[in-house]
Amino acid sequence: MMGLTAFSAFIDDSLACHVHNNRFSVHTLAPGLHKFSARADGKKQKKNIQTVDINLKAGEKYYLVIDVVDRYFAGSISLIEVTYNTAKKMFVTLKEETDCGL
Amino acid sequence: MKKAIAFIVAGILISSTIVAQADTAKPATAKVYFIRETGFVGSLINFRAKINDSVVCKMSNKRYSIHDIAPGNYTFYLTTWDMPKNKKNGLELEVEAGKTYYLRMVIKQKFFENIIYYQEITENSAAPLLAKCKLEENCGAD
Repeated sequence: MMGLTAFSAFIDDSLACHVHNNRFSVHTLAPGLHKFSARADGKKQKKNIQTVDINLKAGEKYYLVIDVVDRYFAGSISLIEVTYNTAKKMFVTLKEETDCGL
Repeated sequence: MKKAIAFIVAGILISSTIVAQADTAKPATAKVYFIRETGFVGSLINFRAKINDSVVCKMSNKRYSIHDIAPGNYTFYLTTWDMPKNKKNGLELEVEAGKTYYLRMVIKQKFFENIIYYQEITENSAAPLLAKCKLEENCGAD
């Protein structure tokens, strides 16, 4: 579902990447609390969107998956923080999103 | 002098029992959460959660279960009545004592079939999912 749409990923309310299906992007951030979210399309973050708040530590890696769950009338898009154990399996089939469409 | 020696020996014995008790207080198992919040698709079908070929839980949608598992290497995978063999999509995990693992059940739609598998997620992402779901108790019992 929604395989043709590039999802918009936001970091701290600003657009960080347009992520296509079967792609991943890498972002380097300063340590501290950051808010992450995603939506199907658009350049601005929705107001009432659920964010994933992570207190980032220097030198560590974090893996966020853009997830679509089918509901009765529409799909809902959310970010899920997964462990390296899960991420390494996904990287086998994914390609890196180099310019992020910005 | 004898009293003093007896006092020291008794002290050593008491301290060693306290250390032994502290060692036994360490948990010998790990906690594994199975979380199913898979939305509309397949919501009427129970998932059978298997660990190394044995069914440990039959899980409905919007439910979670908690399992105490001995340390070791395991393959966690899911089956349904129409998909009895699904080990190829299993998650291999080295479980360590005292740790908590959150395994989220996922349905992925392909062109001609659906795939069900586990995603290991962090506590940060598990907390909002657990708030949406009910605890499934005795889910392994028939």
